[in-house]
Amino acid sequence: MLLAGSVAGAPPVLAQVGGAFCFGLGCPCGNDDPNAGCGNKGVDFSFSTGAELVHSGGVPSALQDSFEFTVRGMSGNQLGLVYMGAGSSNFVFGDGLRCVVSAGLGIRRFPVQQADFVGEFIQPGIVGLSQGFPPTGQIQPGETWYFQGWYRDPGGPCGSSFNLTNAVPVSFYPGGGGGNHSHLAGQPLAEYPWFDYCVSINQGQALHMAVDPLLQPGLVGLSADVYIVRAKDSAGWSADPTLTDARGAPSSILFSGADVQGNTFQLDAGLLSGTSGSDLGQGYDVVIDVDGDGLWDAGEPIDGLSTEAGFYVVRDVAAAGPYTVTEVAYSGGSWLGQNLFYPASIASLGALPLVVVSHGNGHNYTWYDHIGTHLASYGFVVMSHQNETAPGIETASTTTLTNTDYFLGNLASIAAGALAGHIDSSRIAWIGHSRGGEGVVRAYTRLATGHFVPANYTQADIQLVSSIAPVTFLASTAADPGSVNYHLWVGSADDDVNGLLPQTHQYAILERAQGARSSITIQGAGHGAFHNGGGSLVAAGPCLLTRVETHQIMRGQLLPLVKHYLEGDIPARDFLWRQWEGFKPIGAPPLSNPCAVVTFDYRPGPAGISIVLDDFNSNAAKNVSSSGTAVSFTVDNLFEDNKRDTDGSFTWTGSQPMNGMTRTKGSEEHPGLVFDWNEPSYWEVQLPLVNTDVTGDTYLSFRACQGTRHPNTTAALGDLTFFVTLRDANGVSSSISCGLHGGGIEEPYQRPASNPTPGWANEMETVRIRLSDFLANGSGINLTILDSVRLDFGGPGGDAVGRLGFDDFEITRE
Amino acid sequence: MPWDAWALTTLKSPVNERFAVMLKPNKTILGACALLGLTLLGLGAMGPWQDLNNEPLPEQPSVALGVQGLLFARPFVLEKSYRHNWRLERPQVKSGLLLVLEVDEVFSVPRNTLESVLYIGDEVAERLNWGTGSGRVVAICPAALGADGLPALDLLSALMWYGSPELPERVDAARVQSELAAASAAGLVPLASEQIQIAREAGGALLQLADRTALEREAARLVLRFASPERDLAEGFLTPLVR
Repeated sequence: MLLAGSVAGAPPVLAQVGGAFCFGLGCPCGNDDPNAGCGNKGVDFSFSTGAELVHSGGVPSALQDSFEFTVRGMSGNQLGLVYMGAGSSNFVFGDGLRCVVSAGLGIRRFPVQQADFVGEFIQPGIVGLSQGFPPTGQIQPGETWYFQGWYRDPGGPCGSSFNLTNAVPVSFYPGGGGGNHSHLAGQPLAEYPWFDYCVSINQGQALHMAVDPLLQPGLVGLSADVYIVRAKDSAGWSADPTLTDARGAPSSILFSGADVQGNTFQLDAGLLSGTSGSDLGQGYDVVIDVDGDGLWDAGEPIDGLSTEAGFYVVRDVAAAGPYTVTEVAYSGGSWLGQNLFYPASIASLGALPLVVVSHGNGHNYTWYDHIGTHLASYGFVVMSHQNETAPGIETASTTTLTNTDYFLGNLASIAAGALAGHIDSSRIAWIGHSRGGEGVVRAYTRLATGHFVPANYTQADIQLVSSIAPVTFLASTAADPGSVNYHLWVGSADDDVNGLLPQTHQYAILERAQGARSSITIQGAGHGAFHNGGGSLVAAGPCLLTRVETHQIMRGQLLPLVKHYLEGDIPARDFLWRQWEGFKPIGAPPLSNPCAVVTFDYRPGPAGISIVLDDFNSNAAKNVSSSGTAVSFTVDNLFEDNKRDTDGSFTWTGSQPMNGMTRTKGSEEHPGLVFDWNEPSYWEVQLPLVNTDVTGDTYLSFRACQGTRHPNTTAALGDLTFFVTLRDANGVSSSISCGLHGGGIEEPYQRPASNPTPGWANEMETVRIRLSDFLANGSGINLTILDSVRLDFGGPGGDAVGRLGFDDFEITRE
Repeated sequence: MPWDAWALTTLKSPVNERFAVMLKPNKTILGACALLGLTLLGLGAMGPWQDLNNEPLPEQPSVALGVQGLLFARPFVLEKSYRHNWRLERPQVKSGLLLVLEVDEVFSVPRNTLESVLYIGDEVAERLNWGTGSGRVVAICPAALGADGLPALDLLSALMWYGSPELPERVDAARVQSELAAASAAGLVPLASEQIQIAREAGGALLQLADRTALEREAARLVLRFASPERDLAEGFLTPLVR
């Protein structure tokens, strides 16, 4: 059907790079290549592989000139060019297929380029160069253009001496400023920006979509069918654009609202399934079928046109998975006792990742069934081993190393050979508890430094190291996670590894980690709550969590952790950083349980960090950031210092600004920022001049904690909120509360101070706000010329007084 | 508020009251809790709070404290040596004594921070268990063979004590000597000869074993016999060997 207000052939656009299309199928002389353009001579002299056109940089903003393409797969040193047109087609042309046509606006050719010796050239300046074309060819906001590469190919398969790549549609930002607007699905928020374009939602939770009419004016007044479709990547969409709604039928929606709130619609009441094999979730794409033809057409809004789905419905990750689990206990000799968990059907499951568990002192390797059974039910092999912790950390690390090596070297004998050929030894996670928690880091360091050389695996095979309530006896160089993915579990009620002494500064290892890092802090959890061996919880403090509750949390968080780092699972990532109040495992203790309070600290690996605004590691002056930019503030008692409590009292005396920080030890330097306020005030950092365009980035990220026992903290116990403001070079600003996803900066766990327990400690958590959220409802801010990030305290909607610690103000991308 | 009442109340408390009551359980309260838990178990109403078993960590003594008794002493010799990981020098061990000691309960609570180190004579003893719930610790004390073909450790003259907290793998010979001097200065004396004699008789003749694995399994059987509350630990050493 033709939809009211729509114009056939001219769909409204969201800014996005569309899925590549017009691959080499039906080529002129049988030189098909389904993954690129038609087969050519190329550098590989194979007529079954062609050249491809890929988006290789920049964002589709018509207001800047960052967008670029790369053509690759040509013959070396040959000439080629990128051209564009307003229409798409598919007919034989030369040795290839012509995919782009004029559609009345002309064919526009970018400059001729010469490929390098590997047959590749880059075409930058797409938008800028287009401004030199005749007016109908100048790229404007809101337009969709189709691009293809043409190139010479002497000696090619069909004798025409030229060939073409696949094609790519690009829709340029319809509004001013730019930003990533390809998201549609998510859930509404009770305050600005009014909608959370999240990646994962829990099964049973209602799904919504939102369209910002000021950023997507092409949709205003239109009525269209909105489909939820099982996720496909761009190639899948090109191959099959048919829209088949997972709910049975699409939703007919009229986009008539004047703002985000007015254009927020429920798409599903929570009936979509998130259960699919052993996956955490089921991916779906959302498509607005503007012309009502039941097909996704290039240029029609789609959320999920990549390997990442539009959204994922996630199952109860705390509940058992689909596989029946076999458990076997055996010993390979001295300190080689092992408790093994694996799917009973492993013979049909290929090669599975391995999770190794190294227990703590006074614990036992048979006390981690809650980990082994749970992960094995989702297709992991889990081996918990005897850990020689009593002599110290070096011996513990040795048993981690030797047990892993023994296991991998004896698969033919263990469990009657059931696992032989079914372990992927390149995907190993080490999880250690307490002394074992530092032991696994020490073990990784020994691999990195060559002080231990296993026979059956290497350092590169260790993909994740996770420490549960680790001690920190060793020097930083001796227990260094380096660039491995590192994760930390902390129980705020821990009465053993309690932060009192430097050897118990449990966050110190996290601070050292240079790769992706994350931590979970569980208030009310004691040291013994993390195993299931019974006995004392080894806890001090109010509102203690039971083992049952702690393990519900562990199961629900551990599974996404290993899924993400060992399998690259996308929806799992949300469990590592989103506010517990807004998103948590279904089977974890409910929010109505006042004792189950959980916070996360998360930082992606270096590749995910675009701009470090201020990590306080250099430029100690209060008015200069570590990136060298200006800092200004009106908050009180501002200090930059090492994040270490030096007297262990955790009591506010006024003389120790970093009171309650347990994030460094010895001579380690991991500085941070602290300050307080009693009246409306701010702290602001400018962006580096060379890095003001954040349209290709995803989040503003920082981490923060309340200052334990500071008078401003005790004056208003509770989660603490303030506003985060972005301001562009034109002076336009946009503000969002740090508590928009529920809670705020968490109220500290109020552990009583009694010898030897030191009382409260500071618990840092990460706040990430999607950059494009600041554009909502026509804020007018221009993210291509972002000038500064400001934190506003004490104003309307924020807490009147407070004391906070901060670190790692960053712009990140995913 | 009684602990069990607190636990029940907690489940219903609003967020802003979660820090209103501080938990300080003691054994009497824990007993009451266990009784309540069992009662509810019988009614089929298991609450998630039922395993709130929590004992504060006892403070470790700052001065040397002698072991309280010796129940078992058996010499051993191995065909194949192993490294003694409980001291910095990591010496090779081919012989020594398997001992069962009675110890103060303050040492029976494992911890991951520093633990008091067990010394016997001028050696750091390897503890196989902690004595949790029994007060009995199975220890392996390395000792070279004497001229008589037996481990040359004179229990009649050797002090047996817990010294200052440390990671044993960091204890070197100098540290052993300073700890020994501190123990002597504290007035510690060897155990009574009668007790040594009874322990030797309980231990029996020289045990000849193949290697460290066999020694661990022998020690684990002693844990089962003398310190049964630590059954998990003992059974962990006794799992079937992969062939």
